[in-house]
Amino acid sequence: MAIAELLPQLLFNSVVSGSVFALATVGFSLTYSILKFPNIAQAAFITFGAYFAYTISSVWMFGFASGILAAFLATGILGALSYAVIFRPLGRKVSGFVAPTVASVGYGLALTFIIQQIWGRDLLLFSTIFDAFSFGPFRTNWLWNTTIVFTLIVVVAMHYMLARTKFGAAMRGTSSNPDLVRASGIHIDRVIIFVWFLGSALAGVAGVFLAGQNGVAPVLGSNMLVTVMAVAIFAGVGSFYGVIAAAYILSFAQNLSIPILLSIGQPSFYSIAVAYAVVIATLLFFPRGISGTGPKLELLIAKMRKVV
Amino acid sequence: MYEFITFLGDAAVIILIFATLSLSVNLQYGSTGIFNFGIVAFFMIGAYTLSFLELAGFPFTLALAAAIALSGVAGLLISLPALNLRGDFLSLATFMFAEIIRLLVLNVPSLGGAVGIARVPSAFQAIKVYSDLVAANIVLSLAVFLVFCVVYWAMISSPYGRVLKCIRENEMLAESLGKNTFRYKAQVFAIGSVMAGTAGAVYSQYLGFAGTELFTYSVTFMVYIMSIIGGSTTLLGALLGSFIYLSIQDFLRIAKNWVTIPVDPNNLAFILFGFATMLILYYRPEGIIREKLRQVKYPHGNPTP
Repeated sequence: MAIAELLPQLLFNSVVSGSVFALATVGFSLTYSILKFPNIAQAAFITFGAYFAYTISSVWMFGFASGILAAFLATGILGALSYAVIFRPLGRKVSGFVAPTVASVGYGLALTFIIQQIWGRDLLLFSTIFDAFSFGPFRTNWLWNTTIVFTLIVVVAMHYMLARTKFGAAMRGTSSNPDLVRASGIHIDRVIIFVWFLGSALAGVAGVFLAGQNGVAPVLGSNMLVTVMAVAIFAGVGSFYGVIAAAYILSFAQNLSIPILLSIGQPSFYSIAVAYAVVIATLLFFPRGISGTGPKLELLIAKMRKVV
Repeated sequence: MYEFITFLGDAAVIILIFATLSLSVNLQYGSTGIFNFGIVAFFMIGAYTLSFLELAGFPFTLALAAAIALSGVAGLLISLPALNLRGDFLSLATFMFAEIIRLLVLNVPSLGGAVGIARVPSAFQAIKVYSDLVAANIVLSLAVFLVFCVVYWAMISSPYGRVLKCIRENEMLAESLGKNTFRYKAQVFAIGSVMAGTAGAVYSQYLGFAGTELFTYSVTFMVYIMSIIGGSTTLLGALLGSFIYLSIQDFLRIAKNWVTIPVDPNNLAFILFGFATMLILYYRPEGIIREKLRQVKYPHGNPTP
């Protein structure tokens, strides 16, 4: 009975946290599919975005919105620079995924502790306070509303870009067959730099949304790292639409399992453990993730049509 | 002076424990090419098994044996499904596994919960003087490290090790030579887990404590950085990497008492390691100590490739 009453709010909360998951994961997933290594430094990008927005909005008092914008630009530039200065030369020199992965570990470490050196270890709270109010059946606040609207805009814009523009076609091509794209005379490097810019920028904004609620500390990004990996794997690496779906599914599963677990007398942490276990199962049984099942479903439907 | 020697002894114990962990990375990743990104899980399993059994009244040797057995079995069980995965997915799966184990322990109070397990009895309960205790622990951790060095050396410098290197360089080739690569990899995974588990057991009895904050995934990162810096394909590389990493960290911690650095020494240590890792990966990907490759002498001169 309790669950039925809570359901609308749970759904709403899942949409909010799912939006943050999606923003944080897009870059990880796209760069993974293009450069074939998991970029651990994504966690540091999330933290950096949050701190940068903190300085702009709460120290220099430009307001929360300009904090988001500044974090978007600054983290994007940081990401693009990281690719140009570190991962591009490394990828040209060393083959395999291990070297760039460990390099991204080292880079993330350095970045996190540079951040810690600049801003300190303590939890910093944004000066903007978001008051909760009722909106239909939901309790919400402007931070959450902004999160949802921002993610919606990103999804629509990305969809338009990927589906309708030539640049988007180049992006899709780059992640599925880079050699072919290069052979067609497209500057693949520009595409990759743009993907790094966009992915890091969105991660930075995700950091701002996370920090707006509970404040920002150096561990903000690394606490998200496992979730980011989980969403990326569950989605099937490299699929933008998969990431969006997986983010909402995982966050919904997590949010919904909390009252269910509590009602049967189990500690609520299992919701996270269950989510990770689902991800490991995904890896073991259909490593292409949920986006990889799409073509299979289409094939199945086509076969059924023939039979019918 | 007395305090300083004890301090050095303490550093030596930690260096040897992490050298053992690093050796397990060298066996799995450096020699066989298995990128196990969840090494901390087995470190943790060893530490917790020992702590629980010692607190339940078992003697150290029995608890250590159980820790070794349990971490080995856990490694074998994890490796069976995980080794079917492609390299990078294997690393992500083991990474998630380690995080699940940590969350499980963190949230189940009977496993220690967020508080951890305090007052884990030392292996040397008869020794009351702290400096003697440190000395005894140096002997213990050195013995563990040397035993695993012998295991590692015996594995690598035998036909078995050449199969492992063949798997690392070209798994298809090893398969085509009739080697059951899956079995080799599972064995290496299990033995590496045993090394990590034993290191964990020694670690927790030395600290007298086992808690989830000691076993976050940053331990895995640290150990991989040690292994890469020192040289992930050689025995000495493991020790050297661990030595460099931990001694620089300690050195910066002491140095702050003598010179004023504008940067917090703890932060500076990690920033330096981050950059050192990237530079070494770029300029010397095999690490400081390189693997000596066997030279084949052809009777009529070397064939041109």
